[in-house]
Amino acid sequence: MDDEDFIALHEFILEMANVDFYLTEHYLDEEIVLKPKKIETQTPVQLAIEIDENNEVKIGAIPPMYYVETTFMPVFHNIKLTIETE
Amino acid sequence: MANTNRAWNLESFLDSLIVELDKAEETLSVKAINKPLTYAVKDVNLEMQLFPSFDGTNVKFVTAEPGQQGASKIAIQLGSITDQQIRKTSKEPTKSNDISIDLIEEIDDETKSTLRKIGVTSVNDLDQIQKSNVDLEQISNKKTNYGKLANLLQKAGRNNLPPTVKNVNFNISKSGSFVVVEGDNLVVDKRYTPVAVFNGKLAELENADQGLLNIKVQKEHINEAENELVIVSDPFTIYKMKLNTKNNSHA
Repeated sequence: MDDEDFIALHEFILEMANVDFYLTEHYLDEEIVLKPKKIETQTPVQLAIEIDENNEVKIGAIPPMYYVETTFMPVFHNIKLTIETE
Repeated sequence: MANTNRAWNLESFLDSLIVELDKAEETLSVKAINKPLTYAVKDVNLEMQLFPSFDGTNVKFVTAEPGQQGASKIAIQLGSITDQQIRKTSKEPTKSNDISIDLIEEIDDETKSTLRKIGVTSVNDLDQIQKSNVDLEQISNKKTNYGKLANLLQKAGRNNLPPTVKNVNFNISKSGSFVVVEGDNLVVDKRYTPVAVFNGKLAELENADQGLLNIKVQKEHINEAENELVIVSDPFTIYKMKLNTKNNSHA
């Protein structure tokens, strides 16, 4: 992305979908583990939509960086993912 | 961010969004090779604060910037679809023997976008809806009709088959004098009768096909030095030749 604050949307989605780590690796030594079949997750997100020299749209995203209310708030869009086991 | 905030149209935005989701799923599926239990992204719902604008033909969007009030909320939901669903719901891509409407220069942009709106993207599509007796004039709001398009398509088709002349012979004998033209794509469309004009006089075509034209001319019309032969083989093709009897004659 031209704007370094943002990462490409697919990386953002991967980060959001990276639930295996929390759900399995943390509990590898346990005898009984419950595994959710479906997870819905959502977060506010800042978007940077850019048009490159080939007229292609590039979508950059980051979650909110600060939790302080200011007079000029960034615009928060919203992204919701449904993640399921294969 | 503000200086890069340019308006985009929905089609190119969706293209990028789909690519992003595909990339994410590819990475996840690679991960699935090594791990027994993995999660796949089934759908993504992106809700955005946007300002749409309409210039008369196209709708464009620009993301709301900090401090701007009253943005429209637009939500796009992308679900993973299987290849079978794609086959059911989308059109087949244009085949190699078909011509994409987008590539035909003779058709103006307005007609192209009118056709695209009604799902016609190739010459075969056009044939299909013509066979089904669809009233193209009505569904395109009188912007186009088959006759107009057929002419443009024929013209485009003819541009791909330019006539080439390889050899011209004069056959002068007592039974009649002929100019014989050999070449390629001389006459391609059987619906039109080709016309030959030799030195300003209409000449009779005894034989006219793709590779050979046999033109009957009056002996007295043949000039010693320079002769002119004009062939009109269809409404889009006209070719003119300067012929010198001294080099070509077989008297």
